[in-house]
Amino acid sequence: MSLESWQDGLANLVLHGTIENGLLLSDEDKEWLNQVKTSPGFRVTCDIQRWWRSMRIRTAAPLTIRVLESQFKKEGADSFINKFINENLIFSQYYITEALSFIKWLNIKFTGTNNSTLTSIAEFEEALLICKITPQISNNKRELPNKLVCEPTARVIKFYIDPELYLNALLYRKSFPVANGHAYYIIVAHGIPHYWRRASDSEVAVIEVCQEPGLTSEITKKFGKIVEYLFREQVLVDAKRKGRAN
Amino acid sequence: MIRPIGRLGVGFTWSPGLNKVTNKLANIIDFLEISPDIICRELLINEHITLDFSPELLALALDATAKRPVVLHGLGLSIGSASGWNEQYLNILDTFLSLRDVPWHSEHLGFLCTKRPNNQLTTVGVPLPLPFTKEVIDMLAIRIKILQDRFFIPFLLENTSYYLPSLPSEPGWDEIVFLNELTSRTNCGLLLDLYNLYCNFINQGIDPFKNIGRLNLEHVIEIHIAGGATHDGFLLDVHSDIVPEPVWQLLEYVVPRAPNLRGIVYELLDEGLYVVGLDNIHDQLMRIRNIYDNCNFSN
Repeated sequence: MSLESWQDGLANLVLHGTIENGLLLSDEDKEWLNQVKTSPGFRVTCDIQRWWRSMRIRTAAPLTIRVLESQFKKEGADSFINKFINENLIFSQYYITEALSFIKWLNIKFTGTNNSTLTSIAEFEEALLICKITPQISNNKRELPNKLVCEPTARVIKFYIDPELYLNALLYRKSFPVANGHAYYIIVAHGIPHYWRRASDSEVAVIEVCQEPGLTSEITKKFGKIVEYLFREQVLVDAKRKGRAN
Repeated sequence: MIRPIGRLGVGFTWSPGLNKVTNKLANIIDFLEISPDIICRELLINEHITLDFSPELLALALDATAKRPVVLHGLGLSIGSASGWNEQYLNILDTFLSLRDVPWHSEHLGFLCTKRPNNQLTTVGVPLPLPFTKEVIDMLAIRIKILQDRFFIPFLLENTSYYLPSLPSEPGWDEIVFLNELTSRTNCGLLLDLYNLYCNFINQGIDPFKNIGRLNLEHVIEIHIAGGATHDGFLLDVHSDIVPEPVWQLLEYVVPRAPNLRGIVYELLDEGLYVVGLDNIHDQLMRIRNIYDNCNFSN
């Protein structure tokens, strides 16, 4: 028995429920794994791994989980988490990385459905998490540079329900606001206090334009003072510095 | 040369969620134990995830430990992985040890990192047990030496709970023999987790009181005690409750027989706070103190 092959075999069995054909397992390894996989202790071991993954997702993506629970009850939310765990390999020891993977999977599941609130909250939480783990590119100079571009983590998320009222209701378990046909926008970016705030239609338009680097003079001519304001908030950064974090 | 260590006394697990508890019970806690993992954050740099301390959580941890000793109890090193341990974690230890004097540090006796059939590295999330074999001890001996040469403080390994039957073993070896061989053949101390040992004995139908006497207690530097839960007929080590009476009896047996014992920690997860409550935590710590103080250590 080689320790490495035994560990690979055991880990893959616990994580995926099968004795992997692609691993170099000895006959002794395979015999042991076949015995173990029908034992009650093996089921408990797998349960523990599952609980840990579920806990990580719940801890790192609390807003998305709350929306799921409000729409599908706790059992429904658990069902989505379990489905994700069953369908997706564990590849990261890290909480936020796993939560991002879960949110991405969930958004794919709900794309094209009528559940814009869930997808908007999930996108919002995804943007917040990315801000948390990505080093910030800051604007060293006070004056506007020659060319501007959006800070890599800056995102605009569209809601069809007042997002601040909805988040308040979500967090404090109050009645949810009703959609009134209006579109609302939130900017998420590193330089904004708590990473987010409401965005105006004009700000959304600036961010759209600045997805690619553009001359500051032309952008300012078109949109006015809000360009400087977004620069101060580091939603927009010097196009020369994009990709070079502090 | 490894730095000698003095006796610390009664310890408690520290986390941001338990900070208020450790402040309220400060006068009965001699030292704190921190898992560096819980004050780390992920950073995405050049499309790779790396680990670093969260500035806010590190500041909180340093503040909590400014006036009393702290020991480190890691989870993420994966010292038992045959495919390679988590070298990034050593940098985390470097950083903390540059900021705080730490009498000793410890890790779990298990493995996290492993490989998929396509050689992609993956993780199992919660440590899986190691077989009781000479190959494991040979591998650990090399890594223990690396740690001691790097940090110059004692390193301990903690016996973990496991639920799989019939772990591969050398002829005549069980968990007790393996731990004895590990500590006698390497320069590693033992963090004896009495609740883990108790869980393993009970889950396998072994009498803990008839077997604890076989464990060589000379290398025990630290003891963990905790309470857990039951699931599908198994005792689980989940640090979520008060310590069960049989574990207190094991502690009373072990303490006077462990000549190099330096500290005893009551382990509790954040979630356990709401189950146990402040008063019970106080009582657990005071009961440890009574056992510890009544023992006439010779050194």
